[in-house]
Amino acid sequence: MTGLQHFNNAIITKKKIINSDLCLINFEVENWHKHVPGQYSEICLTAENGYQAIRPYSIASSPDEKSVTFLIERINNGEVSNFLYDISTEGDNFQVSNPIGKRFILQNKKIPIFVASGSGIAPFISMSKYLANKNKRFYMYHWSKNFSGLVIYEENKSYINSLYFPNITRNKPPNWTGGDSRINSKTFNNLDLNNQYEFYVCGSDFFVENALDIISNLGKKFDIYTERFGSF
Amino acid sequence: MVTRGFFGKNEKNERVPPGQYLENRFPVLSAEPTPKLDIKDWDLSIIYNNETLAKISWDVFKNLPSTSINKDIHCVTRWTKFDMNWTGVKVSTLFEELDFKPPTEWTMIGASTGYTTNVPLKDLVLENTIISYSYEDEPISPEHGGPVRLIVPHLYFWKSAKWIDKITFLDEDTPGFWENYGYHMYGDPWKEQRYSG
Repeated sequence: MTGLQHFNNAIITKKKIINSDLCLINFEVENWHKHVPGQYSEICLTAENGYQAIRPYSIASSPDEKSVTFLIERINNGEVSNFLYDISTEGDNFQVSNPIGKRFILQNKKIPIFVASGSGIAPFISMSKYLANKNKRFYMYHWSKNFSGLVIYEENKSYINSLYFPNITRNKPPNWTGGDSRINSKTFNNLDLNNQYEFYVCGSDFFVENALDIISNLGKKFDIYTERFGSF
Repeated sequence: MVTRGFFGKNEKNERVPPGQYLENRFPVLSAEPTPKLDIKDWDLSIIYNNETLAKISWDVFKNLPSTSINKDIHCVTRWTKFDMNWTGVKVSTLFEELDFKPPTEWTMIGASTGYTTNVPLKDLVLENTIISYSYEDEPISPEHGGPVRLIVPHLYFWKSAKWIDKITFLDEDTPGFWENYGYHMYGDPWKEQRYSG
């Protein structure tokens, strides 16, 4: 058992800037092992002197897609994220690890409920695309500072078997009809608690703790899976 | 394969294990909800064969000889933070004070949340392995494992279980929470023992 992660050669095939913080990057990865929605991979940058910087990112594409997509968020002093956002272009070469993670993955045994803040939407892009392709039902709750940060607003609106609850907490566009308050005790009032649900929560530590408090006060025990950014 | 235009912000540093980067902040990462625990209610059980061999209350524990360590910490999510200062009681001191003879070579560390991680006895009784109640001279905050957490600084940080409340001796090495999800059974950062297989 070496414990070392296996990296594959990868090339950027598409880069889409979403706003001043976020971009979506598609990679074509050699020998890609099909992932399970919810898994993450590590992206490795190598400098000429051999220095390497490696960071984990949730996979934001469905296993059904040919390319592997990551949602990249610029962060203060972010070495890898900021390079990917600011400098990388189509055709650039990287290394991307095989998919990792066996805990925060789509179980799909009950009705999935996705609860995300900000770029915590990334694993749920993968999960929702996968489920939508199979006409499976899910609920999606997402909080963003602005409209563009919802990332896949149009896609989520188009999934006819699912319910989508987008929330914009700062810069609402005119005629916004979605939510505008933070996650609170009324957020899940629309759920029929007679149904069986599995909750997935992804975001900052503060957001996840808040969401867990609220879900645990719904008066029923649910399967809950959490993924936190390494917030400070 | 060199990445076009990438020069790296970090200089190579011999204190940073392979595949890690230097982080000045202290990220919060937990698998489970952060419990709200009052240190006055805290205790630590030592268990073998479903039998509680010892139970140490906070009132007893806080009066045991304390140790402060200054160590670099390495998280499997790839951050390394230098010079973290922890104070607590060495596990070896705890066993000596209790006149406790470990019954096996393998342990499972348990937390009040149900989290578990396996740590071999030889690592648990090393000089720098402590059951800690203070970080940087302050009580450990709940999100960082307070009131009491284990610190095993020479292994990846998932071995330093937050909210520790039990040490269970086992007859063989057995995977804990993350180890069951594919993380390495031992977790040496200098050998990059991140994942099994």
